[in-house]
Amino acid sequence: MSDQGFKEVQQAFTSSIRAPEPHSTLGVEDRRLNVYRELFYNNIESFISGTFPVLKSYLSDTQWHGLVRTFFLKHESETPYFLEISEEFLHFLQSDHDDAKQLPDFAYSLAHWEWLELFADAYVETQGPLHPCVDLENEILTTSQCAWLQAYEYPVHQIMPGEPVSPAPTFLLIYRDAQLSVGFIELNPLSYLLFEALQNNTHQHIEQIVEGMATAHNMPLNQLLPAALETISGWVDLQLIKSKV
Amino acid sequence: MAIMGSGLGLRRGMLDEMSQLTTQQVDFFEVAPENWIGLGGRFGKAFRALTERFPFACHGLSLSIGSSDPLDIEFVKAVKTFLDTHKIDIYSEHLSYCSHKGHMYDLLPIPFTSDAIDHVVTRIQQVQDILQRPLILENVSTYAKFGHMSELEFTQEVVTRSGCKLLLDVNNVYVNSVNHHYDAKQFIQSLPSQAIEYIHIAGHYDEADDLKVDTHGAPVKDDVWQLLQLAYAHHGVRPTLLERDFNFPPMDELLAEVNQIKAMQEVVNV
Repeated sequence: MSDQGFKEVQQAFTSSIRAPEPHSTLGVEDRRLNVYRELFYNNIESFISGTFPVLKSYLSDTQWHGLVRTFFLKHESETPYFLEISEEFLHFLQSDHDDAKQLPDFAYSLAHWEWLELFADAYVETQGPLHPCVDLENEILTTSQCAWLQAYEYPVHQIMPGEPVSPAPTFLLIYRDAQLSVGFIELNPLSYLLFEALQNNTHQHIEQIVEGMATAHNMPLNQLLPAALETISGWVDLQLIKSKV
Repeated sequence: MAIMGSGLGLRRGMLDEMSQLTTQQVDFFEVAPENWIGLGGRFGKAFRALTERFPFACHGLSLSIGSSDPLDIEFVKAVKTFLDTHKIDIYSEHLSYCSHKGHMYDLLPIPFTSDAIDHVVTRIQQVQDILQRPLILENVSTYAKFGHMSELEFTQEVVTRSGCKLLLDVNNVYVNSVNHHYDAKQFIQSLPSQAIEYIHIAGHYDEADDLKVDTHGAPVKDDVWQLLQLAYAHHGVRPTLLERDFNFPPMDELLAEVNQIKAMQEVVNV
């Protein structure tokens, strides 16, 4: 008996594993095909639900499993790394697939926020020689490499299953501390800009940075500077501020 | 560092407990490089601490040696860097595929055909060239079979033509012998001794009398222990790893199985 080419067999068999409804193919017994269908789907679903528990709990079971099924069927995952399956899922949420488009408006922002927590936990630090900040006003400051700013159109950090979600500009700082635990702080727009300026700072002292902000936003420096120093002191306590010299 | 004796699969879910183990309790650990490459933070730190204390083997999941998709050269290079960084000699994978027009993240049965052998042999040689190590391939559990050849014929020919090594998974031999009606002992005895680098043992799930599923979620069954003994008697003792991926029992129970492996190795070595 001559065989079908192995690539054709692989095409037919993987299609029957990905298909939303079981259909017999290549003469494989239904219960054997179902072992594969369940192992594969459950494996992928467990990786995704592990990263996106809030998004999952906000959606109905039907909607959630429909979404993961479509992801498994339609999305060509490129990453060989298991921790990055959730990143593939994020890409899928931004795609044109109907299941992704029918999600609530905040779904992508929420998923991004949940993914960011995993990202922060796993991030590989490659920071050069930076020192803890000792003297706020006289050192050239920058931020820890393990701190990420993110602005969302929804309060993604407060979303609870079953409760309505209204848009509200939301500024978050997620970080990993020296003990390698992940935490976050909600910022106001000005402290967001301040942190961003420190992140990008190459040579300015803090007073120069705040002066620039005061001019740009037409605010009195004598009010902004003490407020900024107090905010930065809080960040220093969390070891998020580093000194370049 | 070479592996020997009796080892345990390192799992992030049991990392705290496994980090407490001593080299008196476990001879080596095994990790999937796909789960630890590019992992910093608390997990990366715990992993580095363990690699300084224990010999490690890498057991990959995403190579997809039998896939119709192109071989991911960048990924193979990343594996080599990981092996070199952590001074790990052993890299095993699966005689299987796990992608077709994208990754599917679990193991599929390669059709046992001669065109698949040509394809797999070429890819094994590419991987070995990059890694500068022999590729060690595991016989996988399957629930469906395609192609006219037997699993044994297919495996023997791949080994002969590619020069790859074997990771003999005795639980998978048991599972497949039931699922595809062949003689497990004869399968093990027919494998080339000199190709067998190390051995896996694990528990499985009884879906039906004629359908077993390789879950790594249960204690090792008696029939499988007997196959391990047979493998040692026929091929000689090899480093042997206990796989447990979920339904984790208390550490004492896992260590009892690790000790059972050691006891069987000592009996053969006497």
